[in-house]
Amino acid sequence: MFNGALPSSPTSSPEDLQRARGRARLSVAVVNGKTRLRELYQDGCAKLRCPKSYGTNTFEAVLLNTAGGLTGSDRIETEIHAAPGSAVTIASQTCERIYRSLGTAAHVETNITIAKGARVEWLPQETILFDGGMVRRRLRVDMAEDATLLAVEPVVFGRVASGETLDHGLFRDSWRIVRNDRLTFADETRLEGPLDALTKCPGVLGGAKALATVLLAAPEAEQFIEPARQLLNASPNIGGVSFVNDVLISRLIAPDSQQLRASLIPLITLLRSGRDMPRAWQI
Amino acid sequence: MSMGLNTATTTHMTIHMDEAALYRLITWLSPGFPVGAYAYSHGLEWAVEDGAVRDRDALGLWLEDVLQHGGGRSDAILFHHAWAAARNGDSAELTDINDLAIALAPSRERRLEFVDQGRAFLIAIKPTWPWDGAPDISVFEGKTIAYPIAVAMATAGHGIDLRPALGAYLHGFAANLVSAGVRLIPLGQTEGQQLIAHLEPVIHSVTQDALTATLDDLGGAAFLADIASMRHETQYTRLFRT
Repeated sequence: MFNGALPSSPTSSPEDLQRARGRARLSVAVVNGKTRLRELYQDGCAKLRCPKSYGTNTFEAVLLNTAGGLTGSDRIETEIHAAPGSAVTIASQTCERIYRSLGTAAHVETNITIAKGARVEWLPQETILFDGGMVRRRLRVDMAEDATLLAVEPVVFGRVASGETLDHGLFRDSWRIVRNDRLTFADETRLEGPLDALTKCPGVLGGAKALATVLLAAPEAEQFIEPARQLLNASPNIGGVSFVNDVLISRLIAPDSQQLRASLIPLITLLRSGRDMPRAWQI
Repeated sequence: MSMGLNTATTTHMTIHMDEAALYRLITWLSPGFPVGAYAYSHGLEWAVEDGAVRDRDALGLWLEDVLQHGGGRSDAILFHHAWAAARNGDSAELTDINDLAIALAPSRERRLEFVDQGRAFLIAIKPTWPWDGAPDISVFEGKTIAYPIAVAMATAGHGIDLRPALGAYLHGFAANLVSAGVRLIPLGQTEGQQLIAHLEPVIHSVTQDALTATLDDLGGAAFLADIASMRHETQYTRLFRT
């Protein structure tokens, strides 16, 4: 299973030797009226840090990849469990860099379960795809009907500041949101091959290099549509928001990650009812 | 975009199709079949309003993106697997694919054009072109069904081969959007037909790709087309429902 995506070979390729593996599992529950850590497991290059969060009822965790980026066949698995009524925010320490691969993709797999009345905010920072980078990401969320999920995945195609062009790459992102055991929302993103040419297409990114998808699944999600729309309409970037299959979904595109953040942070802040971004995002 | 280079000579294989199959495909995927396709622009109305699509060539590029990286390719892969499940009489698999198709709608209006046309297609087909045996149409009684799934079901039910069925579906999809573009930009009828001719090899290649694709190969990148359909929700003046 762990090696499921790799062809078996009697001799190790250089990529096999360098392969980074990381597994992290975080579980939170309400104890004496406050969300507390129930289980923390970490293995390999995946680390979870839980800075003390004062004056808030939300547990904060920060994900780190000590391998400092991902390349072919690397694998990161993260599991988050939120018990009834608990609230947890997970950010990443830095951007995740996807370096050139010799032909196989890195795998990033995230599984989140959210029990009745619980809230999970999945707020990783940007994934940056370098030339030749290949990544397959999966996000699977199982949540109770009245639970809340806020998820964002920003991605940047190439280091725009250094003028890098992406001749080749793979970016696959697969989302499944299961509510009350019913698939309610799915998203499949796939950019493959000559990414520079692809991102220039007028129906794709029109030359923009940064993209974010934001999702809010919550009993009160629909009430955020109008303020989110106003925010996006006033933004210099191109964005849209809709309420479909009982979730609020937004796509936002910008020339680079800095300009993306200028629109993305106000949007996330709005969807967090005005709470500041996790500290990792502010550095 | 080099118009005129594309002719019907890019045939990949000889398609054997009986007269009944051809007759039915032409009927079901024609603009006259009462699914109300003319009311849906897949977000194109916003792209025209916004200035992203101003002329024939810009429309051609936009439609290439929608077909190759957006709803066209995604519909085609879902169609392929729904057709196969329907052919095998596997109702559980068919409803799973339909659930996935609906869950994949990237905006409220894209869901609307999926399920309203799906419902209208079944309502139109039931009293006119019923079929015996698999797939059991009553599986979707009182349920929402995505348009490509409904068409896949009927073509499988009538024993129509997958390749021509898929090609006809994609042609209908593209021709409907060309027609929307002709009305919106506006373009002349000749320019519209030039686009239909231009898109022929694109549709062949999307069809070809979908025939070997698995559900794991689903995935799109037509983000600006998705955003256009989101922005269309609040477009002030509109001719189209989506």
